[in-house]
Amino acid sequence: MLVELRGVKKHFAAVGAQNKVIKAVDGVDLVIKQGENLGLVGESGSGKTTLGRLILKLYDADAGSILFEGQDWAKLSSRELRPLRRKVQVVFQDPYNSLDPRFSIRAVLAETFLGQKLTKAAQEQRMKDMLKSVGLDEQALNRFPHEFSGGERQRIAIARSLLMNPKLLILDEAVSSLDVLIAAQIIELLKDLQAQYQVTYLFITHNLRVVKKLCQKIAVMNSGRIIEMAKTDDLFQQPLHPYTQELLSAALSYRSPKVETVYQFGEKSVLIDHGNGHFVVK
Amino acid sequence: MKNRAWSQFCENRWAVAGLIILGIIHAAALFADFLAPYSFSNEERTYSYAPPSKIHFRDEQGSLVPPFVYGAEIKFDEYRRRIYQDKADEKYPLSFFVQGDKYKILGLVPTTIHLFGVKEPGRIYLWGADSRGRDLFSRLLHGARISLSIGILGVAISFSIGLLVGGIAGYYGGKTDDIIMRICEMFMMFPGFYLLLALRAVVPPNFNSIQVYLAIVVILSFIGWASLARVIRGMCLSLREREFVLAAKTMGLSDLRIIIRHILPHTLSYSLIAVMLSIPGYILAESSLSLIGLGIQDPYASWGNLLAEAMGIVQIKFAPWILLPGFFIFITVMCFNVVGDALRDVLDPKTSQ
Ligand SMILES: Nc1ncnc2c1ncn2[C@@H]1O[C@H](COP(=O)(O)OP(=O)(O)O)[C@@H](O)[C@H]1O
Ligand SMILES: [Mg+2]
Repeated sequence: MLVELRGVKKHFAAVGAQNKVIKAVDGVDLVIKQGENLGLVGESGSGKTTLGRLILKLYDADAGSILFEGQDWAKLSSRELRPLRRKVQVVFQDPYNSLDPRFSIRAVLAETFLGQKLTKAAQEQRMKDMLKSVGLDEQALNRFPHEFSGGERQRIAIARSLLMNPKLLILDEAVSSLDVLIAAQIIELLKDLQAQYQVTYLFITHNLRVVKKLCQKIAVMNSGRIIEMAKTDDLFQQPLHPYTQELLSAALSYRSPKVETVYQFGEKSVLIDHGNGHFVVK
Repeated sequence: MKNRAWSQFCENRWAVAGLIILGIIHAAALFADFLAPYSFSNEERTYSYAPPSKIHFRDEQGSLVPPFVYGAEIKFDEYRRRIYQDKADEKYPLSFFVQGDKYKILGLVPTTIHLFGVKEPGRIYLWGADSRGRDLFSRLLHGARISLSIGILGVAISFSIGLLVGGIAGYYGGKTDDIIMRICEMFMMFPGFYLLLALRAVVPPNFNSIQVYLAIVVILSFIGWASLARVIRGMCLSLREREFVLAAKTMGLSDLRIIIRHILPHTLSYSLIAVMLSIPGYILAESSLSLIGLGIQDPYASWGNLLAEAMGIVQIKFAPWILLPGFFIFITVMCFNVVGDALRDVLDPKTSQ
């Protein structure tokens, strides 16, 4: 088991209104297995980013526990945590914001070697190899983020993440701001890289179609809860929850979902197994 | 992008003029011992309040000769005030690269060469003399060294503190932020000048000049860091949410590294503006301390203690040139403000009106 979430909650204070909380993540149980890519889908505002950041330990959970390789990071001191962090990396949605604009690509990538004893030559070699793996020219090292297109920047962000040798790579809407063709290329790239780098993906998106190729498993999120979870093929063939059905038909007909439904869940509502690892909320 | 900002800056003629004047003043301060004909303590008491020397280019017959000054004939009026008259038979040619008081170029190479001067016993007072017959021009140059360096050193120290403290408060947020900000507010609560006086009173009276100089730098930095820390903190609060900062965090970089390498550099243009706009405050603070006799002590010169000579109306009336230090303080402060404002227009169009 790579990651295991049990009853995880994260509430934010609503801006402006006192005593009102936004239940961004409201009791999530989730398991990510080594090598089994998980797609996390749901419309905007359903809590996907917050869930990703909880796993990244950028936020502290308000309740529940998150185990990474069986270890609860919340129980560690920040000194103990820092060296572990490299195991979970992230690629963000906004390629224009995810690389420090003042850093050359060499400086961006070189930061991944901090704390490792590698000679300059070895570092240089690894950076060049990695750039080649993500389909960029080694000339890129001397250039700055603003000289690259959005798709190229995402490739650089992926290169940076993979240089950390992560176990889990969280891609938070990583292709959502790219045009369809470029997005498809990045998905292909991610598939190619997976075997070589022994990494598992948590692919967060609002677009079901994007995850079909990459993920073995899909979890559908709404109002801070997982409402349905199944193997990708099962979910596409037999969506059980009406929200999933709407997401699916929207994705297949290239339109945005019609119902912007927010489902209310009681404290007791749980995921029910429909066999073959297909869970749906009741 | 940097080039565009620069060319935009150059369009503002006042700012360019200000920058050039500041450049000249600072260069003059740097090479003060060479440019000044005398050292700061070279005095000749018979020349008390000697007026600016006239440099003559023509002799009595009206033909062009190398520049020279006349020796002075000193008489007293009925109030025993000195009256200076040229002695027609005593001429001292003005020469360049002459021997004079000993000094070290930039504090390193010992030499006695000065840019210009006249042979002893002649004296040249380009901008007049003070009560003890010291050359005001020389003392202004030496004073510029102290006044300007106090400003720059003070700003450098208080900005290092302000950046780091503001960075830490903004990056961590929460309790850390609360505590640090309350401390900042405590510093900002006191009116600056009274705090300055109070802190100065803490400094032992038997300090020598260098110690007093350092004490003033420390005191000024101590007062100045808080306001910068507050603004930097505000910027860091939003910078820490930027995705490249979050990425750096997930990479396990240390907090200090994230603050220094990824957050503070993005406050640079603001800091530059703030530096430009706050240096005048430091120069003025040093001048006010020295003016009231709590700062740099005679025989050392600073613009403030030079101006202290101009506190009597009689002196101003008969030796108006002793007001010159005030003029230099004014020009320098104006230039820093003009340049700072122009930088703000260029680098930070949002906050400039
Ligand atoms: N730092 C935050 N402070 C306050 N509210 C937040 C914060 N982050 C997210 N939220 C709120 O939590 C909810 C879920 O947000 P998010 O996790 O970004 O959803 P998604 O990624 O699925 O679009 C939204 O209503 C959002 O406004
Ligand atoms: Mg999101």
